[in-house]
Amino acid sequence: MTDERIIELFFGRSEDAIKELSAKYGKLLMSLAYNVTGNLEDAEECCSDAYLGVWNRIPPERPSPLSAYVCRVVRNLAHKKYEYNKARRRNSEYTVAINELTTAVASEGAVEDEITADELALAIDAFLDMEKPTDRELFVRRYYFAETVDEAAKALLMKPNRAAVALHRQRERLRRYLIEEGYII
Amino acid sequence: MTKEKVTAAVGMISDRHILSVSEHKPRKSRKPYYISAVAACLLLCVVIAPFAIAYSLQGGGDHGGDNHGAYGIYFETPHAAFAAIGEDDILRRAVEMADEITRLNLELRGEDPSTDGIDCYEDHRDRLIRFEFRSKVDGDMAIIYIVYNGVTKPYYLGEHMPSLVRSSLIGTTPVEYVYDEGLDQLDAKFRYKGIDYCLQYTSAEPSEEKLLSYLEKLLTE
Repeated sequence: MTDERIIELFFGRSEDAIKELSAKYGKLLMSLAYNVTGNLEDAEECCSDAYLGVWNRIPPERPSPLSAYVCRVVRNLAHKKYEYNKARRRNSEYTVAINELTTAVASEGAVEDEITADELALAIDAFLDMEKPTDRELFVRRYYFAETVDEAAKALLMKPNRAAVALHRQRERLRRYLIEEGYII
Repeated sequence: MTKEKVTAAVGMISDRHILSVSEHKPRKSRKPYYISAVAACLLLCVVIAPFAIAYSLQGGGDHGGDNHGAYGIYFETPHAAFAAIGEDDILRRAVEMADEITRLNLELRGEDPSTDGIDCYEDHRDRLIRFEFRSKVDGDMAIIYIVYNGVTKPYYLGEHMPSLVRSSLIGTTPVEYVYDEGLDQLDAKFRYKGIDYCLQYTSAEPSEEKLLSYLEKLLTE
């Protein structure tokens, strides 16, 4: 079923809307939530909350593209759950991925303190636009969807070692880019 | 730059980048090629096997080596191969077992590689996995070597290799197993149709606790 049709079901307040949304994107959303929270029950809870959230927001919202929208909702919910779990010392692949990236771009400078997360997101967007499609997808899989290196490599038909090396080089490129653009010193 | 800021920024990347994953289309597999290749090799083996057995019965088996005038048979496909050595009865059982495994391989290969199917991409052809089955009956030994391609990654262990083992060990009675972490090798003893076998698993990949725990579960079920 097309995204437009699913949105129409939401507008028609049909319960099939959630069923169809789940059928089309449920596996992806569950995988995203699980990678971030590292817990199956939490992931299921995040997905259920996300469906309810989407139900409450559509209408009036008419998101396009729908998949990115629901991914964002699930990721936000999963991130909240992650923060909650982190306080209880329950780790996930998300911790590993974020640590990996933070280590590459972190530095102790006054400039960084003035940069907002929005600006940094725009910089990362611009950086990704310059990357090759495969590298771009690898980055998004690893750091947005918090997939393991093996999972991301499999999806891209790469050997895990090659994917790990590619990610390492990509983090270096990102660091250099952020320095060149004055985001970090 | 704080971790929180980086985390938040990654969470705000543009939709167009998220779409590269959410709208991802799995690449085409080489499944038809593999299935036809395996089928062709099976057909070939049906033709060759009687000659190989006859040759072996005359004492010319290349895979012999024990003191009982071993009979040998050699079977190979692009992805699965075995050699069996032993007396008539053991040979028959070995062939039976290998047939079953081969049949299961074909079934596994029929699955969609983008989901839970067997991995059959060219990139992974160089990864070999080996199962070694040993049988001891009155001092005789039957050995089946199965060179199995494409299932060495730890990620796949929970998905494919155990299902192959599980399917292959239908009706077996687990006895014991030993896992050598240093060698990344697992020896499992079990009973199949009245014969004690030793399954030896080795992998070029680093050892994985997952393998051990999964096989522990498998063998104690």
